[in-house]
Amino acid sequence: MNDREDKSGTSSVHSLGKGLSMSLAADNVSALSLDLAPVDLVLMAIYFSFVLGIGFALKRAVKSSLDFFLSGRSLPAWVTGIGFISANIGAVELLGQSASGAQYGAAMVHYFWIGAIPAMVFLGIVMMPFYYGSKVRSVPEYLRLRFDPKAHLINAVTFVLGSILIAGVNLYALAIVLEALLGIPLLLAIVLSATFVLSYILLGGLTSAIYNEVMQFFVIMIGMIPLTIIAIKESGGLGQLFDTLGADKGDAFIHPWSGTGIGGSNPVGDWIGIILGLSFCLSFGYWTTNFAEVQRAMAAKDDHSARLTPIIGAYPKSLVPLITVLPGMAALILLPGIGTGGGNLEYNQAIPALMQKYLPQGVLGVAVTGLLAAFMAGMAANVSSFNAVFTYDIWQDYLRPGRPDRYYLTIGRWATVGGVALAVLTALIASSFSNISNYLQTLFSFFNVPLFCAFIIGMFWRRASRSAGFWGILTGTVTAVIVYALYKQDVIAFRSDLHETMWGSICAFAVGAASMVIVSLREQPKTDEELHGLVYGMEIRDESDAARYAWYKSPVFLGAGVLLLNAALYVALYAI
Amino acid sequence: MSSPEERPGEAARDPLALLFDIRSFTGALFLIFGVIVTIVGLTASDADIEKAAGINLSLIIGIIMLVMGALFIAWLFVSPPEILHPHEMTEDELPEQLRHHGLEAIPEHPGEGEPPTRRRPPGGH
Repeated sequence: MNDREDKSGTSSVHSLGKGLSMSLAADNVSALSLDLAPVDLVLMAIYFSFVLGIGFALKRAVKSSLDFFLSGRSLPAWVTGIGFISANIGAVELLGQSASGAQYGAAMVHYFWIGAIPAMVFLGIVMMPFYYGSKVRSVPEYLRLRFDPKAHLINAVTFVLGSILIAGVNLYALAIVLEALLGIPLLLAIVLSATFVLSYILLGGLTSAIYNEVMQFFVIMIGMIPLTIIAIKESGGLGQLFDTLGADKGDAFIHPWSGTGIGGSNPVGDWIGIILGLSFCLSFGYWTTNFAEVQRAMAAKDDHSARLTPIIGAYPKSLVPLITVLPGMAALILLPGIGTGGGNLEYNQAIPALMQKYLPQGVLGVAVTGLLAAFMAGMAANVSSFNAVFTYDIWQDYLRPGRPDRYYLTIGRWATVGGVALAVLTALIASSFSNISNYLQTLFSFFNVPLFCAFIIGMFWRRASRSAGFWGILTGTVTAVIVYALYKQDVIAFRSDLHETMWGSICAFAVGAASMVIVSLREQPKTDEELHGLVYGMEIRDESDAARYAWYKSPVFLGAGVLLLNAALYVALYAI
Repeated sequence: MSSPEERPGEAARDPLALLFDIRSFTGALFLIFGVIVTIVGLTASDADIEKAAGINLSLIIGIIMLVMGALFIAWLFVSPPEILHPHEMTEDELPEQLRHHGLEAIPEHPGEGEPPTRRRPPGGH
C-alpha cells in the first residue's frame, strides 16, 4: 500500500488550464454515458414538475389559517429531521463519498460515524437551545454582535467565497450527470444546469425547499438502496468483496481504524487527526455554523422538535455510508480501471456508472432523478447563501448602506445571477479534481474551521474581546492555506489529501484560538450587558418543557441512542 | 412553550391544509411513480432482469413505491395536520426569532437583513 497518496487534482494553474481546454474541446467524450429510456425521462419530468409546482403553490397559499401552518410553525420533527439530513445529502455525499470509498476504502465511514454524528448530537442538545435562547439569527450576525464589524466582514467575505466554490462543486456534479445523459461537452452541460438551477432558485422559499428535500430524500433512497444491494450481490457478497479488496489494497482499505497509529499507513490519517481534526474541527465546524442546516431545525414547531431535528436526522445519516461508501468500494471490482486516469472513468463517476450498468429502465429514471434533485437543491442553497450574505452583509452593510428595501432586492437578484455565473467558473475548477470530496474537505478546512473557532470560543469564553473574532478567523484561515500550500509543494508530507485537511484544521484551530487569547488579554473585555444573549450561560432563558416529554423522546436519550448505533456499526464493519 | 399536541387545536377538516401537507405531495408523487414503474416491471424483458443481477427490479421497486405512496396518504388521513389558529398560540410562546414575522424572520440564508414587507398579514393579532 503506498503510504504516499498521489495528489488528486493538483491545484496548479497548469491542471486548471488542462481542465478548461478539455471541457472546451468539441470532441471531448466522457467515459461515462447514461442512456435513459423514454419512461425514465417521463419520471424525471414528473418529479421536476412537482418541484416547480410546490414552489409555485406554496408561495401563493394565503388563507390565514394556512399562514401559521405553512410558515413552518407546525412542521413536525420528522419533517424537519428529514429535511435537515436531506439538505446535507448532495453531490458530496452521493458522488464524493463514493468516489472516496473507491479511493480510500472503508475508512471513509469515519466521515459519518465520528465525523458527523457527534456534531449533530451536539447541535441538537447544546446548540439549538443556545440559538433559541439567544438573539442570534445567523452566524455572521452573531460575529457582529459578539465581536465587532471587522469579524463580521471577514466572515462575510470568506463565506461568499466559500459558497461560490462549493456551489461550483454541486454544479459540476449536475453537469457530470447531464454530460453523461446527453453526450454534450462538459462546459455546455454546466451552463445548461446553471440555467435550470437559476429558475429553481427564483421560485424558492424555505418551506418549499424543505418540502422538496423531504421528497428528494425518499427518491434518493429508492435509487441508492437497490443499487447498493445489487452492487454487493454482483461483487459476490459483502464478505467476498471485503476479502478481495483487503487482499488487493491492504488491511487499511477494509478496516477503518487499521493503520491509524502515528506513522501508520491508513490513508485517511491517524487517530489524532481523525478525532481532533475531523470529528472536532471540521465536523463541529460544519454542523454548528452551517446556518442552512440550523434553519431547518428552527422551522420545527417547537423548541423540543427543534432540538430533536438534528438528532432524528442523525439516524438516517448513520446509514448513508452504507449506500455511498460501500458501492464506491464495490465499484473498484465492478468497474475495472476506475480512477486510473487516461480514458477511464473517474472516481466521481462511480455511482452514475453503476446505475447505468445495473439499474433497469424505470428504476434508473428514479435514481438519476434523485441525483439531479440533490445536486440542484445543493447548488441552489449555496447560491442563495452567497446572494444573501453578499447583498446584506457586504453590500448593504459596508458598500451602499441606507437604501430602500427594493434596491437591495434588485441587488439580490443580480447577485444571484452573478453567483450562478461565478459558479460556472468554480465548477470548472472542481472538474480538475477526480475526487470532489477531497477538494471540498480542503475548502472546509480553509473556511469553516476558523469560523467555528471564533464562534465556539466566543460562545464559551466571556473574556474573548472585540477584536478577537477578526484575528482568530484571519490567522486561522491563513494557517490552513499555508499548511495546504506546504503540502502541495512537498515541504510537509501527509499520507493523503484528506490527512492534510485534518491536520490543517487542527493547526488552523490552534493558531486561531491562540491569537484570540493573545488579542483578548490585551483588550478590555465586553460588558455583561453587551454579552447578554450571546454567551453560553447568559442566554435569554427559554424554559423548555423537557419534563413534559416522555423520556424516550428526549434529545439526550435519542442522541445517546444514535451514538450507540454508530459504535455497533463500527463493530459490524469489522465482523464482515 | 407547549406544542400544538398539548393543546386541543382543530384537526384539519380543511381540505386545503390536507392538500398542502408534505405527505400529500410525497404520497402523490410515489403513487404516480409506483404506477409507472410497476407497469414497466410487468412488461420487463429478460434482458432487463438480467441486468439487475437477475431480479425484476422495476416490478419490486414499483410496488414498493405504490405502498409508500399509499402509506403517506393513509397517514395523512389518520393523523391530519394540526391547524393552529392565531389565538391559540401567543407571540410570547415563540422563540425570539419567530416573533412578529414568523418564519420569514429567520434569514433564508445567513446574514439577511430585516425581511421585506410581508405579502400576507402576520399570523398573530
